[in-house]
Amino acid sequence: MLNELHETGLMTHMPFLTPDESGKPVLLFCQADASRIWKLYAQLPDGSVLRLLTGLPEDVCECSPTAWHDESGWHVSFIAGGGKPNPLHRLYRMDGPTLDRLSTPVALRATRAGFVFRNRVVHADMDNLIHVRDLAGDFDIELPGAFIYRVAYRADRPDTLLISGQWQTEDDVFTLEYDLATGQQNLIECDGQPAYKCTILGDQMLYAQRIGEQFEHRRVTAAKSIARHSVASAVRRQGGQVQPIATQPMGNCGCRGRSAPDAPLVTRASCIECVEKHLGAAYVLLTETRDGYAHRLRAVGHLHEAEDESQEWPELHNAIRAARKAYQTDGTMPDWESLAGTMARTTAVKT
Amino acid sequence: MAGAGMAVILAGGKRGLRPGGKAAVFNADGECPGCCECEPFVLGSFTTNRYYNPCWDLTPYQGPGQAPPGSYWRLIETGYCYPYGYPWYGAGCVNSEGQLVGLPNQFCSSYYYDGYMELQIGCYDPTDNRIHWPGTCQPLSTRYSC
Repeated sequence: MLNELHETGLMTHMPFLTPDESGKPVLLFCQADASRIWKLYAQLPDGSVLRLLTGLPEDVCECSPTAWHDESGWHVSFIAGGGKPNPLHRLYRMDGPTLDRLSTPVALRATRAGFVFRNRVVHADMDNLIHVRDLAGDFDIELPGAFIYRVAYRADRPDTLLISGQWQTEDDVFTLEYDLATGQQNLIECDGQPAYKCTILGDQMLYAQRIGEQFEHRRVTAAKSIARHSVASAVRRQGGQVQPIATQPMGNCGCRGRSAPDAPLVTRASCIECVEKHLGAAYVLLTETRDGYAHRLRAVGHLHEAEDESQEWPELHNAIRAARKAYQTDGTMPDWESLAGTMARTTAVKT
Repeated sequence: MAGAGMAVILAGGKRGLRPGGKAAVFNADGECPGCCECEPFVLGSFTTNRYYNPCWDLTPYQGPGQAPPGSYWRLIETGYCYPYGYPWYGAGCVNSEGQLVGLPNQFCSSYYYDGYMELQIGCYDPTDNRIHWPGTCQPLSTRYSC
């Protein structure tokens, strides 16, 4: 049925699968042409596609739809904004007996990411904080170092949030599956790529696959393969305990800055992928240095970064530090094989 | 009618200010030398996007004569009215030459969504001891020093 969505050649984005009154999946999504002014649509179980009419001005982007159905009908929430003269984005909801008879949208609050599900309202700051407002109590979820682009949930497991964003210091996007009840969290990959803005219903997973050069050139695609990596990227906080922006990046390495009782104080989040990247860069630069290129300072800088981002693993940290100091002292080239072995052991223990 | 010692009232009904923030008064000639007429306004706007349009060149807004002396400037994102308070994405004062002190050469965003940036000029109002900003996004803020 997804093929029918793409007969128009338009971009599709922000999928959300949810069961209708008979348990059949309804797909909510956004569609846009090159103008990138996204509008809301739904594909019903019979394959027909329906524009979800909001009555908002044509220049307003509508995105991130979610919905549930109960005895009173459909309840849809979405994000909209970007129009003139006031581009403020807000979380809206609209309700009605059927998806083609929804009420005029009601703005709930200013935000660029979030949803409503029954008595739960979730909204996010663009920098690293998600606010959960719930009858059972309010709390925040901190995702240090992340821009947050979408927060949705699994319609078949509403306590499971699907948080899509981007690591601020990198180009990489991600989707984090976060269980509100247990705190369990996984990064999800579809077809070997981060499952950007994915939706899951039962064994079906769709995601917004990039299809063009531009970042938002996307098409809703069914995942052929799915992988999950357990991480600890997000931290549950009391409401107001932390402020947006003021936190340190942790990236997608699934690790937080923490110290064993006798270990040196960890002053920076550790990240094995980051360590590998810096060691690799130092390796290349030092090899070129032997060929006469003046990369000494940059290579030492990369070694120091690797050292800094491995504080959580004393064996690896000390090995990199010793290698850097030896190189700076007498020009001894690092033993790359030995460092790679130490890193592999660290990775094995970590996972 | 303007008279010596009478407060200057602007077209919008607010009191005129001197650069130091004190209320302006007319002199014997019915004039207000150095009077700072300040109404909040948007000096410039730009839509940033990490992919399409990451950096906003702010150099055209540097130099004297950009805003009333004694007023204030800030960089704010109006698509989310964010961040929530000082120092926004940059803020400062306007000096006696009308120059935005501390305005950087550019503002760059690494955010993939569109950022609706505005360079705003705000005015201090001694009646409520706050800075008034244009538009509806955080229109009032506490006065800050530079």
